[in-house]
Amino acid sequence: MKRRDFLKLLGAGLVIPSLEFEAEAKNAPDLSHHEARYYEKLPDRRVRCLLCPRLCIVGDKERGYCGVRENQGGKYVSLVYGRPVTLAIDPIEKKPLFHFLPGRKAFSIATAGCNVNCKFCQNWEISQVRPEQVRFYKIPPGQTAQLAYKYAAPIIAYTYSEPIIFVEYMLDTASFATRLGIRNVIITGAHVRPKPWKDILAAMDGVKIDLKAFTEEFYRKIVRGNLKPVLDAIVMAAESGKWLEIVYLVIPGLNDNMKDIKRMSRWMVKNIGPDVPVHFSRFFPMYLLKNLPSTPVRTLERAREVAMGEGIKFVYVGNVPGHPAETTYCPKCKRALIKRVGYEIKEFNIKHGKCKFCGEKIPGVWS
Amino acid sequence: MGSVNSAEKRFLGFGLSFAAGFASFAAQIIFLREVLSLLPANELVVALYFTFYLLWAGLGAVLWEKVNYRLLFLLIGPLFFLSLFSVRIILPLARPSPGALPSLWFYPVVFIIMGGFSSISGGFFSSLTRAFSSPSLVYGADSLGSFLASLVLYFLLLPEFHSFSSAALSFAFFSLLIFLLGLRKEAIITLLLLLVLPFLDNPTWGWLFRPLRVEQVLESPYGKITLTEYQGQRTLWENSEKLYDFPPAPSEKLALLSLVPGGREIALIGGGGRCLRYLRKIKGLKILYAEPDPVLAQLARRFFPSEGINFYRGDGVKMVNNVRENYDLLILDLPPPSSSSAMRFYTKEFFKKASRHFSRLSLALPGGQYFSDVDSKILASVYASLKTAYPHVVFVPGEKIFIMASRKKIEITPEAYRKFLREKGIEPEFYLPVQMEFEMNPLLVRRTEEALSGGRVIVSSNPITYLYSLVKWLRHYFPSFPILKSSPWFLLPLLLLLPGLILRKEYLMGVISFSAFSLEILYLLLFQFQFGNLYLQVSLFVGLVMAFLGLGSLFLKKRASLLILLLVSALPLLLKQPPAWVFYAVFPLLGAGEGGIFGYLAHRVKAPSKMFLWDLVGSSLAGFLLGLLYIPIFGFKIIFALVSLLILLSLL
Repeated sequence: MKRRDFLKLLGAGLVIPSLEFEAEAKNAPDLSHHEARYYEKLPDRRVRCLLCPRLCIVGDKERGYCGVRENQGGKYVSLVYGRPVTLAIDPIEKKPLFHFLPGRKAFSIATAGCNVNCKFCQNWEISQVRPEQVRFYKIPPGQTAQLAYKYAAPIIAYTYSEPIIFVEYMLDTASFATRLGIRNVIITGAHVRPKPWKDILAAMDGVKIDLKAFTEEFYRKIVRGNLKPVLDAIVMAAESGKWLEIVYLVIPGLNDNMKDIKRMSRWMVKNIGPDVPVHFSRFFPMYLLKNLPSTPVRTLERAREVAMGEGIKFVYVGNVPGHPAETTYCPKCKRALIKRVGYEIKEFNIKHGKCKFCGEKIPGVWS
Repeated sequence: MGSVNSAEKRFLGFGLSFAAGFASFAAQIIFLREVLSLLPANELVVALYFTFYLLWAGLGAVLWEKVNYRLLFLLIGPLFFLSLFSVRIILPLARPSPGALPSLWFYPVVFIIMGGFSSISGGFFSSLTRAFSSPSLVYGADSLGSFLASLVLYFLLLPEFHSFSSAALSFAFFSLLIFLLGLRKEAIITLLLLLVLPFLDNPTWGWLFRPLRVEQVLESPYGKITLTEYQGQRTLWENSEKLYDFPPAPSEKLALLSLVPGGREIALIGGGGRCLRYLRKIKGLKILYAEPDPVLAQLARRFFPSEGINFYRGDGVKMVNNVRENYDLLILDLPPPSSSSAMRFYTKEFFKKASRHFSRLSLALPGGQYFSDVDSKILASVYASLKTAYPHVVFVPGEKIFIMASRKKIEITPEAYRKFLREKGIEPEFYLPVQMEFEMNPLLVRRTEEALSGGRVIVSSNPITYLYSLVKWLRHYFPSFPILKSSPWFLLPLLLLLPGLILRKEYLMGVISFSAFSLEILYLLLFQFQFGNLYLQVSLFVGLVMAFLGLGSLFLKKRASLLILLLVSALPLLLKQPPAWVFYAVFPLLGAGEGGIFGYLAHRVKAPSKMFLWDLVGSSLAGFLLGLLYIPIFGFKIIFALVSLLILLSLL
């Protein structure tokens, strides 16, 4: 064999495997082409997405940062409309929502994709991948709502990945669900722009927002997002009249500084009031943050003390089954109102939205 | 090329080559240990390590050829010192935040840093060959020096000392050798520099755990065990991977659910003994805990003391192979089948052996609400493998999927769990019955069932699951990384060996070293699958290869060498499961065969340094391709057949 022939053969050999992978992409499963909301058309078939603060400018055949919204010839579409990757039935306490229909089941759905990149994401295998990489169901919104009804779940939770990015599917499902008498809750990082957020709040009955830290630096380095839009969204949620709870996942060495937690608590009392429950949740190593210990329980307890010291009335410790701070206490008489052990409610001492013992009004959605 | 013309010169050449081989191999062992303690010990990291180490050595043979060997003896110590130290310094910088996986650039940087001293290993060969005009003498002596290094490090130093201390002591010996051979300045500089190393070990190791406070660092044959404390909570680490926090919450589900169907005599493998925390709450249990790492065994005794626990000092595979009594239960508290090392416990062969003496077997694998394509394949493979050995297999979904295989029909339900807790008088700390109720909801059960179905049975000769796990790990960096499908196109890189088969000469060494290193990897893995990860034996095998490389290069002829290699490659195709003595014979034969070819070619080629380069290109290709692709995709038998073919073609 001559040297030239050998090199030609080698070159051909390198091209062919790449063709094999390309062929796989072309045979990608049946994604949705449902037109997205919240975008504007730009010259040259480009679009600007108006859903989240990234404001992606997306060229033809390209996708936004979230990976699930695509520009198809100047039309922006959602690739995951009616394409949930997971359906589950969880206790509402798992979200966690402690003051919203306690003890009830939540029919939980999610699609692939996310508009941030939290290094500690528990659901990274659906949130950080493209929709064609994951198996999904094909269930239109009406059917999704009916499934929840079939499983006798009085709540649908849009959760796991980031529901903002499947807003069209979420809003349409919520509409069907409401007609069936099913409530809707969103579990979100709230990295979203005001207009879509307003529409989402209008469709939801309950909101749980993950406030990942109280510094821009954390949001920039660990989340690849921004703090300010999240704080704005929290305020909007509080003002909307919908039920709101906040979760703060405490990560050792990264966002467990008590000074920041104090500042955050003060901000909350000032901007959204002392009645919004706050959960300090225990972190377990995940995804890109594997070389950290789990959050010490004592750290969570200290965070709780700090938050209550600033005036927040309902502060919980999460992901520590059986911890006394899973229980809801009356802010006035300090008696146990809802005793929880894990997801189980052992005692319920709220009657007509008030403490059974002293009559104090307890904020929440109880029926 | 002039011939060696004095006994003195020959002795000096032998001595210096011996010292060079000793230092090079010692550096390789220590650096590999360091890399595996800092980075995930998966097949990709190991394959990349060998690929780059060997490639650099090959390049060094060409780059340093014209350099005076004295300079190389002067440089190896400082460069090795700098390499070790700089990797420890750079890792925290490469982490975007404490506890994070290092950024992608860290990996090529490490492998470039390694080039500094590993290229000198190759440079020694060409430089000393030029000086002493006898490539087979240099190669032979180098190999014998490497053999001594393997013995000293694996059997004497590493079991007793920290790796930096072991490096210092082995380089102290190296300094003594070259001092006696007349390289006084080089010896003193090396000695002074390397003696500083032990003092840097613990402080630099502590940096890696910031902001955690390091309480204790212990050295085991398998790496570093570190105990840290952060805000009152202690955590145990094996190298840089977390073993468990105190208390080890996630292990409670595995420990307690395993005993719901009953049982008194149980065995436990792995997890650093964390399940013992929960098992010892149950009165009347007799537990046999198998742990090959003496440090972890010692810590388990310290943290989970109990009268009912007996310790089996040894590998879990060996324990299952040798057990004679019958037990009610075997609990596997292990990582998923994410490396060839972990995978040994998930093969059909292992489960079948276990089923002879253990009525039930339980394990836990990562689960959740959603199963990616890769997770499904891993889960389904484990499930299918269990089904070949036990007729009944049940599961409980959740963040950790609990799986139990049994000879008899069993049922594990929330009611049964409640009853078990009541009867035993146990209050679970974390895994409450209500949690189990929610995990057993019909949607999650159905989805888990789907994920567990249609899997490929894991057999020792075709360990596919570690490829899936590799894909999963790569997705941390490249979210769109696909699952590689078996394809003959993966054989394309073997075209690099064509020059060896067609043109022969120095290129032939590439074919031989590819074949020999492939065989070494295959036999080491085969041994581990059959007998366990027996540290002493595996270390001995590696040493024997080096020793006989040297002897073969000095004494064996070409045809005999090739026939030996052919025999070694064909043996597993003839024997279903080679007995233990075969392995003790194979490794020396392997070394001798490869060394014999090297010695033969070294005297017939114009450029021995180029031949050495091809030698190492072949080895690095083997290290990279086999570990990552060929073993999981094609399986052992096909690779043995392929290697046999290559050797046969070399004979013709």
